[in-house]
Amino acid sequence: MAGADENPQQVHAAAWLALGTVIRLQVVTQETQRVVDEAMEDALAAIQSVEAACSRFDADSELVRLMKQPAGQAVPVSPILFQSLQFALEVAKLTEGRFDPVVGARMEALGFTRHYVTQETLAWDEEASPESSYRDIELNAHNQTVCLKRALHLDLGAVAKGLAVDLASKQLAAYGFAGFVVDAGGDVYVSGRDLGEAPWKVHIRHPDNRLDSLATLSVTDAAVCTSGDYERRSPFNGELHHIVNAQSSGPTSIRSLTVIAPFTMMADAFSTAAFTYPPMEAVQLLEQAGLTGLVVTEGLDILRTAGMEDYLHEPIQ
Amino acid sequence: MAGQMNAKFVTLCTLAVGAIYATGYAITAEGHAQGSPFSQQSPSAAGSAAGTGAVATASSGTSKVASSATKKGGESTQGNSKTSQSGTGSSSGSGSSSTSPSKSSTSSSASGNKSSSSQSTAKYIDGTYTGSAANRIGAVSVAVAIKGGKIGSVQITSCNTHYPQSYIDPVLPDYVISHQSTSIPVVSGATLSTADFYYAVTQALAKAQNPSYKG
Repeated sequence: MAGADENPQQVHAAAWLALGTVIRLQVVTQETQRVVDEAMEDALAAIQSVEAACSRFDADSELVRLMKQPAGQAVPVSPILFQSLQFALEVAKLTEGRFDPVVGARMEALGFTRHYVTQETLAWDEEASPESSYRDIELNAHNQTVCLKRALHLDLGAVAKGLAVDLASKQLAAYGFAGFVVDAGGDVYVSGRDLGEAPWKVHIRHPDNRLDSLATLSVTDAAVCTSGDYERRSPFNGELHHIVNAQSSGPTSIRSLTVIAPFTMMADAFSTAAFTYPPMEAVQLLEQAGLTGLVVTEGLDILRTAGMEDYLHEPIQ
Repeated sequence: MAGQMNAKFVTLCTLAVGAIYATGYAITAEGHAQGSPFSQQSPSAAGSAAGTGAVATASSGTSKVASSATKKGGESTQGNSKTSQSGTGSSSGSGSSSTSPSKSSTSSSASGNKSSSSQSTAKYIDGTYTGSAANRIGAVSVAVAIKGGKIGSVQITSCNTHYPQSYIDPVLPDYVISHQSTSIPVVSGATLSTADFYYAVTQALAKAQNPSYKG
């Protein structure tokens, strides 16, 4: 292998479809293409494992098989599914059910039912119970089992995507690259330095225009997740998007909400959870959780948590 | 208070990632443990997944890295009916020598060998298939890898957007080529949709269809 001095750093990039979204990896390194290929394979494999565990569109996924078990039975599950559920339940408790992984039936009623590659829909023998909530999920940490106390439909989207990014990041981190980015449909983890040996610049997309950036952050070794009302409108009702407040059915008054956190799972879950609150309360929730972020209101006002200034690459106009 | 709550969730994340990593991403499956692709960094992975004989390797087909994967502008939609992995990524010019797709590193001997069983009745035939389509964002191409009769991975191999240079959401890998490896923008908040790739994937899957699949 060539000495470090002779080889300039390069940026390597690749993209896949997985987890119902576009996965993009970037690596900044002097290492050979072969090493980068291997690292990216590892990262993609981690992401695909999360998909195999947590997809609600794939009849073979562990999550779907869990939901098809008779209610009241303790079912052993993989660490990926167990940890995703456990984290989702903690956020559900904190938000008293505004964030609830048991929204599957509501999501299906809004038409979010198709697999992103095959476009196939899943048939269910049993209707989800309308009163079902996160309180109907019982975890046993010792036995790594899950018991669903009644027929319910789970959606781990707001947790699993973040977890997948964190696992992929852990794989890439093991290679000691100068810098890397893992991006799952705009849920981003940045590590180390970019090609210019500076912290990564992360743009926040403008809620009105997908070509435009609302603000640019300068950040590294952190996750940045943004929830927006522009994403995945319901095919049945254009007023309704895919972030559902489990306790009401109207649209929210936040346009977009960005969270910076040490883990993507945390940034993802909290950006989704806070999105279900009125703007001021959303800021409070983030501050209570010790997180940094910003909230864009219906009038395009930007509310910031304490400490947000530290991450702004340039002041917001 | 804030500090405590932050610490609680950070701890949960740390433990979650650590626990999953330590067990090598094993997925609990019906009948047999279907080991998902695991990494060599995690020693216990080999133990948990390899024993089952069902080590689904995402290894061989999936990685197709892109910074050197050039695609011409006016790409033909017909194209190659069944390109091998190495076909699409021939390196053009600079630097990187094209490498064999198979993993040459330590760990399991399973990685790299493709057919674990004959798939005579599976829906798709193992291999890597390409598809291309034009859509609202431009012209896109994908490479769909079929493993064990199922979709193993879908890689975006090319995407020529008709958006201006200022477009904040580049689709890899073309951005690297057209911008001579300057830094690639990172955007929080999704703007691309998997729907933008649907027809390209459909085309690739049509080529992968097993004629003797019933169902």
